[in-house]
Amino acid sequence: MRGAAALGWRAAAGHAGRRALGAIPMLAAVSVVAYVLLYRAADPVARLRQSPSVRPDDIERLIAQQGLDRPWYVGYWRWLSGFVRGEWGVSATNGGVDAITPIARAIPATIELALIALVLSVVLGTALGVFAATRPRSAADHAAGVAAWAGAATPVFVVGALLQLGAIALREHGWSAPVFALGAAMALVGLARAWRHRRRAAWIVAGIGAGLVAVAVALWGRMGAGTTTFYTGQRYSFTHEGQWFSVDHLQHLVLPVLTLAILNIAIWSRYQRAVMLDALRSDHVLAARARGIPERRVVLMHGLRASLGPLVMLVALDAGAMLSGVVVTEAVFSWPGMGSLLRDAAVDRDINVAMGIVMISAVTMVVAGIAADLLQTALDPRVEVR
Amino acid sequence: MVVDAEDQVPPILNVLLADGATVPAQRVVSNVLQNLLTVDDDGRYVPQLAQRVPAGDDLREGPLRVTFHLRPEARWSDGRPVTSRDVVFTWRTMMDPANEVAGRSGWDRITAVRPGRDAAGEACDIDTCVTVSFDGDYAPWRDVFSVAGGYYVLPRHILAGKDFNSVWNEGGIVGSGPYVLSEYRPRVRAVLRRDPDYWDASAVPDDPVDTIVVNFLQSPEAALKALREDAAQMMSPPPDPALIARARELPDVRVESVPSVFFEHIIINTQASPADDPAVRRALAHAIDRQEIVDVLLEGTAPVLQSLLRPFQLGYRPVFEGYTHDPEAVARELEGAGWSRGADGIYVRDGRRLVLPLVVPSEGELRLSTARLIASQARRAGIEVRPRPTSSDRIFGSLIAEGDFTLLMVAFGGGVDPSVTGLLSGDQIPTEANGYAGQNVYRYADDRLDALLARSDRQVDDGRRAATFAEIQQIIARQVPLIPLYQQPNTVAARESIRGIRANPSQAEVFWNSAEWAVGG
Repeated sequence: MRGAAALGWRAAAGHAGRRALGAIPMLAAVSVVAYVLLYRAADPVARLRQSPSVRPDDIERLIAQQGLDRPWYVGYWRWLSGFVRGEWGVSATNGGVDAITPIARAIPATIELALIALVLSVVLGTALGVFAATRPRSAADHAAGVAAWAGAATPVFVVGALLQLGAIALREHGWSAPVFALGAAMALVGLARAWRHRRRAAWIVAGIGAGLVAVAVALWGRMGAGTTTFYTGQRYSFTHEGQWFSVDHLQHLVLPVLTLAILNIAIWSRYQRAVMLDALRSDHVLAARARGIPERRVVLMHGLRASLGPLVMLVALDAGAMLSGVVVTEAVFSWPGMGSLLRDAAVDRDINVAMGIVMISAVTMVVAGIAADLLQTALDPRVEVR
Repeated sequence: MVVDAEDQVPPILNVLLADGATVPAQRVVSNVLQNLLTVDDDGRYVPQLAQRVPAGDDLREGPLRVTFHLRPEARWSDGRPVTSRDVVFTWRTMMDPANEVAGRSGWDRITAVRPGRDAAGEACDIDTCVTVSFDGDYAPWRDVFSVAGGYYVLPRHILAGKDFNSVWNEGGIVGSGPYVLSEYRPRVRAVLRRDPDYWDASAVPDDPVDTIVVNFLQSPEAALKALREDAAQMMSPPPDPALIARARELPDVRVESVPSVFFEHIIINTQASPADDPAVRRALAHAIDRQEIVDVLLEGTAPVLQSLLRPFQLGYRPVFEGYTHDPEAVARELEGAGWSRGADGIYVRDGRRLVLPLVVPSEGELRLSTARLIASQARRAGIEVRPRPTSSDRIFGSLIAEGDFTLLMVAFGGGVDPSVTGLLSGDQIPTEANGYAGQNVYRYADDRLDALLARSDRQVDDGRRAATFAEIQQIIARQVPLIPLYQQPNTVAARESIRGIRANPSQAEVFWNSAEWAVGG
């Protein structure tokens, strides 16, 4: 068996090159399908057709001026021959600028959103998976399972809308309601545990919970009501435009990041739990326990390390697929990134812009797949690249 | 500062170009650019850069010549005066075949624009007096020089020698309006600062709005949320009663609506059987309870429209008032045309049931609900209307031009001028021979109506033109090539702390009087 380490960077590079070459027919197929769908999806002058001040001869003139009367294969060939030369054509709806211009403007917002959501998903997904795996069949494990299934089953746009409603409720009613809910939950859990186990810590938890309830009731409607905690749209407020390290930007970032991350957190936490459970039952973990190594160290250094390989593979594959969630999330939160640009370009049949985004997404998927292969071989010596 | 939440993203800002002719771009630009005329909140033409709306000696027929007297104090934001030469430049820009302008309606009827000459050919001030000559008597001339027509006067000294297809697409617009476009972030926002040297100081209050930020969001719901969380202080909800009702529920928010130039109506394909029979069309008009549609579905946010014209347009007559929900009138019309009630209550003639498919855009819930309500009303009167939800792309892309429908429910709009020649003239019926060009999608042809329509476009005198429109509307009411339903409202929802906002029924849009807005108090 030869792992990536044994083969060295040369073998890995060769593998990546072969995968990249193998992806070319797939990318070509994606481009044809996407082009035809975009060509047939929308009427680029539909908006103008609905305006009585724009006459039919104006419509005909614009169609001829913008070359919209060509058959799809003529347009496709023109696009493809330009694309392979690095010319992405001009945007049909952005006043004739290069198609890359609006895309380049949108890319930073999308990368920011996707990367932060990815990191958050990995951290929380792994942590929740480990947490559940170390307490199998406990109430906490069941609760994490129910939450994960709910997160995985809820469409992204519904998650986004619910978070927005929650943010607006926070603004209108302040923090009293969530503090009340947290306090009540702590009090109930604490009382239940105190009744069953008669531990002092449980009484303390119940007491803190009751205190939070009391504070929430006493300050009902006065804990930040009328103050915006999380914004439901755009990337910055006007007064903080471009200030990446500002609280304002964080306030805009939280909800879309959560919306994009929740699905992955849900799936990856369940996956991590299953892999972790297997790892914790493996011989080397049992041996580590037998040697008297503390359980925390066993879990983190032996169990978690052994279970990270499959998760990394899944993360790398899902990272490419995350772009579909980006389209929805950006639309819900008016986030000025590639997702909302793709939506607008598709609606307006701005084919060059839409094709640019589709191809960037397809290449990202290919790269993510190759990265997954390489990471898998790097993390698990038993896996061989061919 | 006032933040406006728009529910769409404009691709570019140049509203005169095909790519830029969008509502959010229009709202931004109407703060910066002006035209010789505009339209007020009552739908009347009022002067903007002109001293007055041309009338009397300013108008000469045979062919039409219109003299505009520009306000001598009018200035571009860089301090240069607005002159007749800018009007000439605007006409040339609109007619330059290299420019991808959205529409040239009316501009292509102009034969000359002469600074320093009045309509009688006498000399006048070369900077502030300009006469526009048309190739005939062209009655809808006001829309060409009105913000409500979607047009603006362009600064020659800024644009001469520049590529109009690109120069203003991403900002840099220099205008004569009360605000200056100080910042534009494509797909994100436009920032407008009050011009401290705005030439019409009389319009500016003591505590004017110093900055207007127009944020481009992705949906009406997003705009409403922004208003709700005070990230925006105003928005213009689309004509969706549910959305408007939610805006009304917000504290400290004032919602104002005016019936607009846009109207919802049922287009009847008068060449499609059985709707080719005027008796069937009249029966359908009597079968529909338009008041119930407005009361139940629109919750009173829009009035029933009683003509093809809107009440603020010249010559409006409420000729459809007689078409109330009246099953007896339905019976009279249909039985007179040989139809009789079938066993299932639907009228039948020659073994054929009276079934009328109704194509309706599938994107909006309001239209689908309206179609369902119409179907139930018509069924009670013995007519089966079958709603057929269809995508707007298909409707406007091919179906409407090819006449592949019997009934179709869509909204039309346009300028404030009442001309309907393009919509109803017999030579405007889309056919294969004319490449399906033509806007008479009702496919209604009537020599008498054609003559009246042609006359209405030639009559520069408003009184005589109004009388012609009265005749036109009588024919429409008798022949029923369409059934007007209601006027869509132009609505604005704004914090009560902003004073002076008045919704406008035309394409002049909500910012038409932004110079008068004030904050506080």
